Amino acid sequence: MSGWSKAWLPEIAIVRERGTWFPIRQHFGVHAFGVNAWGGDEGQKLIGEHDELGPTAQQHEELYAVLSGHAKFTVDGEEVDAPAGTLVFVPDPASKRAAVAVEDGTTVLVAGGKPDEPFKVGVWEYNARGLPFFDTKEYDKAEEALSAGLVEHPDHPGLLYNLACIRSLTGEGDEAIDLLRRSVQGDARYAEYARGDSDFDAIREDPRFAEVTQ
Amino acid sequence: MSYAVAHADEIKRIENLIPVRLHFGIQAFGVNMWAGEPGEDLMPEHEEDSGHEELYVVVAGRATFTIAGNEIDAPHGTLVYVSPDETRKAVAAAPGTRVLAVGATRGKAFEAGDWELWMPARKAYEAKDYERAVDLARQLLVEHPGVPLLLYNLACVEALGGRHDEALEHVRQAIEGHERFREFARGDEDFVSIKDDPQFLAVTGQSETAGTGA
Repeated sequence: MSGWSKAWLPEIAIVRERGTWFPIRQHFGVHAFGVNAWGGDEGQKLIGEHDELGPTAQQHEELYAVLSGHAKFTVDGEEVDAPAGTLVFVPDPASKRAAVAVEDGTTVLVAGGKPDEPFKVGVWEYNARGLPFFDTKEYDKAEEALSAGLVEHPDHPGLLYNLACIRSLTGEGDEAIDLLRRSVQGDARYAEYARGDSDFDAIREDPRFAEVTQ
Repeated sequence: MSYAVAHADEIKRIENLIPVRLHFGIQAFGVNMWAGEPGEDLMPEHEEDSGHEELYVVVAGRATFTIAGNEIDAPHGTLVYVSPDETRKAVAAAPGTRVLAVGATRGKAFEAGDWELWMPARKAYEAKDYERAVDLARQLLVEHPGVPLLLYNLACVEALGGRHDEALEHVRQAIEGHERFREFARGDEDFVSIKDDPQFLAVTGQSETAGTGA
């Protein structure tokens, strides 16, 4: 992307019941570092507890900046009071971090990347774009968003798994089994996830499902 | 270290730069904050020779950006994305203006340039007060011994100030400290007074091609 562009943060908000996501990286097409912002009112979760080692994580070091309001972070069990202007740096991908809004109108920006490696758009971001369409049963849009992730993350088990869910939900059992098999081959944890996932009810009786998820 | 926290106003400034990356030791991306009062330059006019794409976030106050000749009003909450080849600058337009800047290069692991350390000497260099710039650069090297960028810039101001022998020694040290300065030096107009010196040609890897006109 060349040139320049600007936006006012509220203009790019995606408001959800559990809080607001400002998909900054996606909006501007930034491809050199991760950057997003999360907003919420008092008591709302801003950053769900996570580390950077999970199946869709990228071992990032992350800098959080409280742009407005007042947040409370918890990092590896320690609480960190964070009024507007506070910067919280979490260098260790293994650290568990979370944040909640302490007052209305709190916004936290997060920038992330992995030292010594070029940035890649995270699988989580493709999931964040695609998974909400499951709620509205717009499976074609979900598939488009998730498939885009496979370009940057070929054969990623998490993306394959979610695409398998779509195929199962849309009655394409053979393709669902194939995608699920590839997912489990990439990461055996997806076998257990599949066994308990109602998205696969349509293919649960297929003998191949038991074979793939045993 | 599980995490580190600081309020932006607690971080010791270098001129009007709040050196966030240096403060936290971030290695995966560049990040700093610029501070200014009305009419003050926030960041020097520049393009990103490093290839960084940059995102600016007006976290307090109001700024006026000028990008490729276009003046852009940027109140609190404005995000501005700039690709590396665009010339940009910003001026504070309200009291207490703070602009967060995040940057890195697509497709490459981030490499810290330590340019922040040069800030105290930058104005003297730009004002062509090379004696003062030399004094300041030497002080900076006492505080940050052996930093290749500081050695390189010291060599530049020495060359510009007619201190040729010292310039040759310090550009050699800079290149020994980091290979990238070899190519920088070859094309740097600051070294025009020493560019034909055999020592300069040797240390910048040009001596085998110099004088081979046949």
